[in-house]
Amino acid sequence: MVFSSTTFLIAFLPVTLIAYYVIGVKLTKNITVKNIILLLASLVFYAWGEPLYIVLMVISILFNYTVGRAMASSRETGNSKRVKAQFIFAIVFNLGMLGFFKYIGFLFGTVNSVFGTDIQSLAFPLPVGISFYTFQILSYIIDLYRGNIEVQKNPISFALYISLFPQLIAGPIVKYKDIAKQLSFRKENADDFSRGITRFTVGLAKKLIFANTLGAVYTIIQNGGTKDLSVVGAWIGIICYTLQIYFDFSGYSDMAIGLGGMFGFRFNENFRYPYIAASVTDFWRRWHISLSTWFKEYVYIPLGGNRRKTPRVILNLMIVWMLTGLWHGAAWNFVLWGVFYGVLLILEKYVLAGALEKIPTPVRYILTMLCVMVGWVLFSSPSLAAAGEYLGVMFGGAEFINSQAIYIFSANFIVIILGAFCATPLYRKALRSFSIQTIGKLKMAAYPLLFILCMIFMISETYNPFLYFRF
Amino acid sequence: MTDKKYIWIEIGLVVILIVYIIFINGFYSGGTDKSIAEVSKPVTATLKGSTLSKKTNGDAVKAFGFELDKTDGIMYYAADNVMDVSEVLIVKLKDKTDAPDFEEKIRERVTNQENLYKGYAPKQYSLLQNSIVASSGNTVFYCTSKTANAIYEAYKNAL
Repeated sequence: MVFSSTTFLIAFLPVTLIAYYVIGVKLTKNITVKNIILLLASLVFYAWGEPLYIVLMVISILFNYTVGRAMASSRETGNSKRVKAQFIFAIVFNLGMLGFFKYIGFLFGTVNSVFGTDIQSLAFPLPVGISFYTFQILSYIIDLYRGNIEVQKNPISFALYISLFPQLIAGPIVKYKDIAKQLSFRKENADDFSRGITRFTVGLAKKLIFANTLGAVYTIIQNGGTKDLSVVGAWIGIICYTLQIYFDFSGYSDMAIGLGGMFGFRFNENFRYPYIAASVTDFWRRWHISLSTWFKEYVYIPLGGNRRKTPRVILNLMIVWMLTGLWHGAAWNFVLWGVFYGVLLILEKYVLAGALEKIPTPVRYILTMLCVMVGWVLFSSPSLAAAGEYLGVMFGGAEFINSQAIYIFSANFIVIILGAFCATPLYRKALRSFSIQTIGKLKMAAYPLLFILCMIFMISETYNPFLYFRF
Repeated sequence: MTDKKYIWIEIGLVVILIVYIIFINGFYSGGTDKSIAEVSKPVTATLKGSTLSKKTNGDAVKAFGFELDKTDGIMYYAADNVMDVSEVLIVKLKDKTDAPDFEEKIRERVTNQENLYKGYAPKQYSLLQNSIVASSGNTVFYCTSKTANAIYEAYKNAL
């Protein structure tokens, strides 16, 4: 089930909210009842699209809950060897499960192409959200092993942590330690609920008004192939994709944070205007923050982080960024995308640091966006060869402009410019020229209108999956 | 609960996971060793007398944005009249793990078509809404037609 569907907005969400507030908050005032309602809703939400894979998630929940209890039990009896064995078992199980369902086809495909073999692999559709919930589970297991958190003894709370529907399918990746207290105590209030609704509406608008519209432009350009593509057309295409992926993913995160707020949860921010970054390092402090911090905390720092000698730090960075690329998808273009960022970050850190300081900030913005857009070509292309062809056209390997580019730009320039404007905090600055009372009145009028506009967009579109669902 | 009991539960869950994988492998496998021509034959038989005509692989690539090198054969029929949205497509894939990507591209095409025809061709829009997109192992099927169900049955029987 997707947030931007009539099933979710008209049936699932109202029923869940009514059940939660009437039974959980008003009648019983019991956190366990509230959690059970949310857990049931989350399981229905997940099973709606792929009922077979609900079993996989339930097995994962039961296994990791048991491992957590076993680790705590062994620790109480002072058996540190058994704690370690349980920890390794859990890591192997979770990474094995993720590897099996996400990467086995990629692995066999690579072996076949390298050795010229024709080994038929087991192949399954990717379980939706597996990369997100596996990383959440790993945060629990690793922090438990490190002794940073208490074991979760309540199976309902543990299951809810893994399956909580607002962030289950496309993040943000919520670390257990950030939400542990909220699983056993949370106070819902009208302010959070109201903020949740407005945040959800903003996310819905990002998805339906901008991401889907701009995505359609890029699809037309990409499906046309590079044969009739001009330099300007290729740039329009990748600008549209750049905006699409931001509005799509940050829109989902907004909706997740908003929904969390409606049920009394507070999730950390996942985006901070990444397209105003003045360096690639800055970009990754603003883009998919929950993933970057996960890798930093659970991979980069344990590898030694910045504390080692330069060659080792470079190796650590490359490992982390290869894994980041691979996390996004089982294909070589994602690996290359990760390596591309690894190299850029190393260059910024060790080679260009001084030089970048001297460059005027607007030029740094432009350079960063160029790097980001080249990255999105690698990311969005169906193969490395296709990415190479597209980049070739972008950088002069075709006629400069043709009628296709003029038509596409003239038909879409308003949404492109509006999208670019809304992807920056400029609109917030524009609002500051009004008084607080005026802003309040504007918001009172704007959010219902925005919601109605979203409904119109949603009814006119029958299929609108989120890009990050496939990760 | 003792440590040993926890270990037995964990082993039990791993066994359940293995059984589950075997089960879903049976569910998601399938497909065929037959060539695209063999699979297409009974399907094209159901198209006799229709307005559809055979199209080239290039037409399919252009319409759906497929990558030809990932396919092991394509059967594509579409109407010549631009006001007729009827289409039948069967793609045999080299790697069945690509099936979800192909299905997604087909659905994008259907959505685009729906957006095009919604306002002024309600009958065509209705056909698109009832289109069938399915995959079985290494084959992907798509059909928009008044007789979509019969064509789909022919495809399933042909595998």
